This record gives sequence, C-alpha cells and structure tokens, in this order.
Amino acid sequence: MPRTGVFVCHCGTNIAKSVDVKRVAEEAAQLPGVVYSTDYTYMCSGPGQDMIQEAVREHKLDSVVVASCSPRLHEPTFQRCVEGAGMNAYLMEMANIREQVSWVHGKDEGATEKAMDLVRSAIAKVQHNVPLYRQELPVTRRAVVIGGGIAGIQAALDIADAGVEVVLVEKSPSIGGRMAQFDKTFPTLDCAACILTPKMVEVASNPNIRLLTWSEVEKVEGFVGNFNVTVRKKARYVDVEACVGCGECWAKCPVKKIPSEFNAELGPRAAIYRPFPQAVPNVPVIDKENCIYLTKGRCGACAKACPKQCINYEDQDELEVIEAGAVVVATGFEVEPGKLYGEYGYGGHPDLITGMQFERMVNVSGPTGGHLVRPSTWDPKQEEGEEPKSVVFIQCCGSRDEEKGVPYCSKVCCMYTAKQALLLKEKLPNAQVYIFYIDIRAAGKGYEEFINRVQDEFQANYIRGRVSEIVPEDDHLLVRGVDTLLARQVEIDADLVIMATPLLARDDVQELARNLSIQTDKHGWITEAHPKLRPAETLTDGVFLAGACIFPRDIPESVASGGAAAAKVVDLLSKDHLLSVPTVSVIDEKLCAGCETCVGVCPFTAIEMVEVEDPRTHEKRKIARVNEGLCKGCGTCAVACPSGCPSLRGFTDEQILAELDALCV
Amino acid sequence: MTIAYFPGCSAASTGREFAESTEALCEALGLALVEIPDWNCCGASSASVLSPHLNASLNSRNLRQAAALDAPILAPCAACYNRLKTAQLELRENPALAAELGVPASVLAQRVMNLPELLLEHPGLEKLSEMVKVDLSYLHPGAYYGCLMLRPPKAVQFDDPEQPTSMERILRATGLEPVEWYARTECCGASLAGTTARMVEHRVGKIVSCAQRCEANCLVAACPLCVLNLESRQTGREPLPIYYLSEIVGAAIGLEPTKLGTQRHLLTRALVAAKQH
Repeated sequence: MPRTGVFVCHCGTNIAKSVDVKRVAEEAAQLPGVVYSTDYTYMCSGPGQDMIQEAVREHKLDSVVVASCSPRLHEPTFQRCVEGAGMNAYLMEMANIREQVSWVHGKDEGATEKAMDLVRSAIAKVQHNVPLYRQELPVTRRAVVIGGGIAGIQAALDIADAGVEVVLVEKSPSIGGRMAQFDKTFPTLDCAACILTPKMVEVASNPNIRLLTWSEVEKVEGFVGNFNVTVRKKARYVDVEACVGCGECWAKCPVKKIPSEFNAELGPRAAIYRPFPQAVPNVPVIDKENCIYLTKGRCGACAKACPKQCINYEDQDELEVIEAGAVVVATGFEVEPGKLYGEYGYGGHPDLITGMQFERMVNVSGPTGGHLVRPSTWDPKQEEGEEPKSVVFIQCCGSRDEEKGVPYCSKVCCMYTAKQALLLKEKLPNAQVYIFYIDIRAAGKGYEEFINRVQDEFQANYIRGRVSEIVPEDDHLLVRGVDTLLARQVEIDADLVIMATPLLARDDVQELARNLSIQTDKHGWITEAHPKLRPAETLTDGVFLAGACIFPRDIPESVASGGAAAAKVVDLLSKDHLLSVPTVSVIDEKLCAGCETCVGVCPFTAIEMVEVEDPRTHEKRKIARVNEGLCKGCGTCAVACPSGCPSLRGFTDEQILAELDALCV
Repeated sequence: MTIAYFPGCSAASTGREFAESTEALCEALGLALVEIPDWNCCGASSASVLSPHLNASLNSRNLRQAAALDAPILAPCAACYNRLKTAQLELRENPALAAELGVPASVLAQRVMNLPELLLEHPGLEKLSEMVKVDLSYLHPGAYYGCLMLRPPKAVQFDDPEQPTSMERILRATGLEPVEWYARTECCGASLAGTTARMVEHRVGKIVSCAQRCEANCLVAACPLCVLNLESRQTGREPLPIYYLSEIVGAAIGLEPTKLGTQRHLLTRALVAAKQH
C-alpha cells in the first residue's frame, strides 16, 4: 500500500478565496493510500517546506502531492524540498489549483469540487510514479553572445572576466549598437561615447573574447552545455588583421551618396565604410550592393588607395561552427522609421525627423558636425544651415496607439525627448520648444527631477495632447494638434519637428528564436522563462537573455541585464558536468520498426536513426534513438508512434490512465 | 461589362453634372450602367445619427435590390459609397442584425466601388492614357479626396487614408500633372452647411487657399457634397474652379463638355478655356 502525503496550499488568499482549502485536505485524507493530509497558508515558504519534510520523515511517506500553483512556477522548489527529506524528486506531483482553479472560477462555480478532482487525479498518478535519476552531461566551457550592443558587450565582458571564453557575434561592421549612435544619456547627461567606447576597446583587447563582427548566427544545434552554433562570417573584402583603419580607401571611393545607416540616413557614406570613427574593429567593410567593382567589375579605387593591400574583392562568406555551452541573446530592438502616421507625411518634409536622426544631428561626430539646423537648409559644402527657432517634439508617435502603432509604451521616449529638448536649448537658448505628450512617464532614479528641470530651467512647453497633422506652409511646417488640458486646438509654426517613434522587436529575431526554440510574444519580443523570477533565462536551458530583445529598456537596465545573463552563464559553465532532466522519451528498441515517424514529428530534432545489430542473428536494422540532452519531454513521439514504443518517463500510459480514471470515476 | 448603378439623390439635384459626366464617361468606356431597381435614399450623414440600425436597414435594402443585377455596384457619390460600405461592415460584424434584417452573406460580399476605384480597373491607367485625345495639361489640379471616400478606413478599405494616390494616378494617365498639396483629405464641412455655414466657409477657405498656395489652378473631386461646398462657399478674391473627376477624364478622352454637364458649374472658367484652346 502506498503512503501518500497531501499538502494543500492557500497561497495567501489566491487559492483560499474561492477554494475551501480545509475541505480539500480533509477529503483527500479519506482517499486510498493517503496517510497524511494538511493545509497551510504558504506551502512554498520556509515553514511550509519544513512541514512537508517533517511529514515525510514522521509518516514515512513514499509519495507527495502538493496542491498549489502551476508546476511551471514551483515544481523545482518542491522537488528540492522532498529531496531534502530523502525522497526521489519524481515521487512528488503537483495539482495546479491556482491557475487552473481559483484564478478562473468563483467560489459558487464549483471551485472546491474541481480542486478536489485535480488533487484526486494527482494522487492516483503519484502512486504510479517510480524514482527517476538525472544523468551527467558534459559541458563546453565557452559562451556565444549574439549582439554587440551595450547589453551584449556587458555580458561578454563579465563572462570573460570570470575566465570563460566568449565569442561575441555582431551583425554590423562594428560593436557598439544603438548606444554608439546616441549623443548624451539621460538623466546624468554622460556622453554616450565616453562611457561606451572604453568598454568596446576592452572587448577588443580581452584575451578571453573573440570578436566576430559582420557575422550572423545562422543555425544553433545541440543542447545545454553542448551547443553547435553556426556563424556566417560575411565577406568583408577587407583584411581585418592587416587593416589599420587609415581611411585612404573610403576617401577615394567614388560612391559617396549611400544614406548612412549609422547616421539614421541623415548623412551619406561611401560604398567602403566604417560606420563611425570609434568603430571596433576599426576596419571598414565593402557594401557589395553598392560597390562599383563588385557590381560592374571595374573601379578598384579602394584597392589602389590602400597602402597595405588589405582589399580582397574575391573574399567569400565563410561558415564556422562554434562549440559552446551557453548562448546569450542580446539582439536589441528596432526603431520604427516614422512611417506610421501618413498625416504627418514623414519622408516628404526634410524638417520632419525621428528622434534617432536628432540624436545623430546633435552629436559632434554626426552628419552636421553637431550643428542643430533645419535639414532642408543644410549645405554640406559650406557646413552651415539655418538654425531652427521653433521646434516641436511629438511623443508617442505610434506607441500606445492600438489603431496605427503598438499598444505598449516604449518606455524610453519620455526621457530621451526631454533630454533632446535640453540639448537643443543648450545649443539654441532662444529657440521655442514644444513637446506634445500623452502622459509623462519618468519612473527612474533622478528621472522625474530631470523632467522638472527641462520644464523649469530650460522652459520646454509641454502640451498635453496629440498632433493631428503636419502640413508644409510657406517655408515652415504647420503642426496642428490639441491641448487637452485647455481643451483648445493648437497650431504651431515649426522649423523642425522631431517624432518619438516606437521601439519594435527586430524582424530577424523570429528566425533566431525558432533556431533556439525560444518563444516570442505577439509583438515579437522574446519571452523570458518567468517575467519576474527568471528574467535573464529562457525556457530553453542554456539560452539566456540580455538587453532590449525582451522589451524596450534603457541603458542602466540593459547593462544590469547583461550582467545578470553573464552571472547565469558563469554559474552554468562553472560546473564540471550538468544533470539531465530524466522526464524524457525512451524508445523500446525491441519494438521499434524503424519507420521514422517519430523523427518527423519531433519539434526539437532530438530523435536520430541508428543502426543496431541483432546479437544472435547478426542482422542489421535501423531504429530510432532519443538524444536525452535534446529531448524536452513533450511526448509528441509517444503519441505518433504506430507501435507505441516511445514512452515518456514520468508520464507513462499507466500514469496518465490512472490520472484519467481518478478524474472520471 | 454591366455595372449596378446607384445614382443617389444628388444625381438629380445639386450633383447633376456629376451624374451626367459619369454616365457619359461610362458609356464611352463601354460600361453598361444599369440603375438599381427601386433604390432608396442611403440616409447620408443623418440616418446613422438618428437611429443605430437605420443605416444598416436602409442600405441592406439597397444592397439586396442590387443583388438581382449580379454586377459590381458603382456609387459615384462619396456619401452613398461610404454608407453602403459602412452598412456592409456593420452587418458583417453583427450577424444577429443581419439575420434580423434578412440579409444573406452574399449581399455583404458584393463589391461596392467609387468612381476612381472603377477607373483604375476599367479601363485601367494604361488603356486610359491611350484614349486621351484632348490636351488638358494647362490644368494643374489639386486632387481633392475629402473624407467620405477614404474614411473610416476599416469600412471603405480604399487607398491610403492619409496619403492617397488613386486620383493623382488617374489624372497623370489623363495627361495632367496634379500639384503636390496638403489639404487633400481635409473635411469640407459636408452637411454642416445647413446648420453652421460659417464653419464650412472657414473649412473651404483653408482648402482653397492651401491649393492656391501650392499653385493649383483648379481642384478635382469625386463627391457632390464636397463640390457643392467648395464651389459655393469660397470667399476668396481669386475663385478656384472645381471639377468632377468624371468631367476631366471625359473631356480628356474627347467627350463634348456640354454632354458632361460642365455648363452647370458655378465656376467653370478653366474648362471653358479648354474649349477655346
């Protein structure tokens, strides 16, 4: 006869508000094999866990049911708890009476009865459980960090400082990411370059970091501790080792008018270019779509100009497979390019720009050398233009707008708009500044004070309301909007208008997410393993998250999350070996007919075909075998197999049927 | 090709030249307009305000009447077009109401077109430019869309609601170079002319002055409400002629201006000049 203990949790009032917890515990005590049953306010707390361990010892329990929340949240907690009392972790089952009962049913909707049903079924299952044991898996002590923005840089540096090898893979020609494009940072007005570029140099000089710029992750195979990451090193056409970044090549390149990505298309670049002077590595790339030699087979100006013969037009993409124990995704975000509101007419008026373009214009290494001008009047030869006298900033140009943009708040725009207004007033103290806003969200250390300073000391006129349209009138832009505090329509003649467009998830992250078997939400942001308790992890073991690939984040948050991901990686890779999860599929090799049905349905490519020899007849045949490191225990193969030879440990037919019997009786 | 024709009330009154030019143009293009039998008023801007389901019931009847013709519906008047499309959307979103009014799903899927939409497909831009006989290139029109043809976008689903291009494309194919201007989708004031005439004068003044600032010498529209307001409520010193798209396209392919009803306009100097040209 089994000796089962049942522990029913109140979860404060989360469960107790609609489930009669005491009754559930009392009725459970009457069920066959249950020798102990009780309830407690917080079963996951210290006293709660002590209560379980004491009961295991005192009543010689051989199986435990905890009726509380989702196993997604606390299965590891209670597994560790029963292990502490000397039991096998897999002799503990959870009945989810919170997410599946109290959060979705009221007291009068039979919540207690449903909780009782779930507990009965968990008891039936646990009495069929057998002890399962974790296996040791090897670990490759190397991490791959994808994305070389501030979050990826921080993660790479922290991992490397702990003595672990890092390969930092960056898609663009240089690391630095978005932060490299910014002028100053809120609310301290630190110059972004002064705090970022030393870190970039550190990355380049750290012996534990291998930097692969102009490279993309193409494929990720394997499992925690044992990933194979295939990286495409795109043809750069420039020898990274030999180049000293002297600049002769781009000075001589006859193609000069390509809109510079780094300058948010506000200025030009050549076909051979480095994105910005502080680039790491300080080596240009050739843009093969626009290079005359690579498209038409003549020119060669850069090769002639190069004093060190670094140019190689024959360069080809290369694929390299990197073995790694852990992967950090730090791919960042995109900025919406300003196209959401047709009524603003972005693209038609040069003096209507985005926040990112303003950021480049105010920067001394930007396209106007830091002169704040109306782009329509900028003369690059004379290096002068007309200074704006009246400037309008528009916040939420697509954020918090379900109709035309995205429903969420992009989080950083209130602050960077205020910062930009301040920088503008510093340079042009006589300019009038107007800021249209919906709400000002300034939750952060020193943020609210910063906004107040921009309003009081720098006299930015904050107008609560939206802009309905922007129309050119004579030589300026007429901004029409509404002031909802005064309930009045507003018309402002502006020389320059700056839009705070929303932050979006990157399009290309979807493919990477599929490759890594990690999830994204409906807006494309990567989903964390748990939004509160595991913000740096994903549901794929060994894959960690840093920076704004999860959701818009400012610089301090990105740096902190880079450090958090690094700590997780170092913790993982500091182990000599990893323990596998035993609840995976096993295939009965005697029964397997080698039909490969399971191979086709496995979403994790965890099943491979192997050749085995019959020990007596020496006949060779193909059978399916599960790679226990890759298997996530989803059970798809067990359902698909026509002869029923895969079985999922911990979820065998016998266990599932016992659960069903208990529910249906 | 047969077209189920919904002339609307203005065809016989304030928008006669629109109806005459549309009918003449369609005939020249080989499109057989068959008037929807016993159609009723679309309810214009007032019905939906008076009763929540009045618009759906008025226009579901029109749609049912048209179904017998088994042809795409042309509603040249932007208000009629808008009401028919809105009724289709209301009934698609409210199947209970559709059932109550006895409207089958096929009626809700019927194609309803405005004039630019029709011209883009029949004859299409390429064929249209081949048909041009009269040079009207001295006209620098501002294409004026108003609001009803484009909004709400969810109901009408025609062109870009903020930066439309269809009329400009048609005008270019007809040999005219429309100007770039910025009041193309502004509201003309529509039916407020009856109650708040000064508001409409203000709106019209803004539209006309924007067009003149951008060097338009006429406006081209496809809505009888807009044309009525724009023609009759101008207060500026320099009047700006207003035309229907159907008149311009008709004149360009060589139809007699009198057949197009051009003489009915309040301000017609430019097209009269075309004749003398």
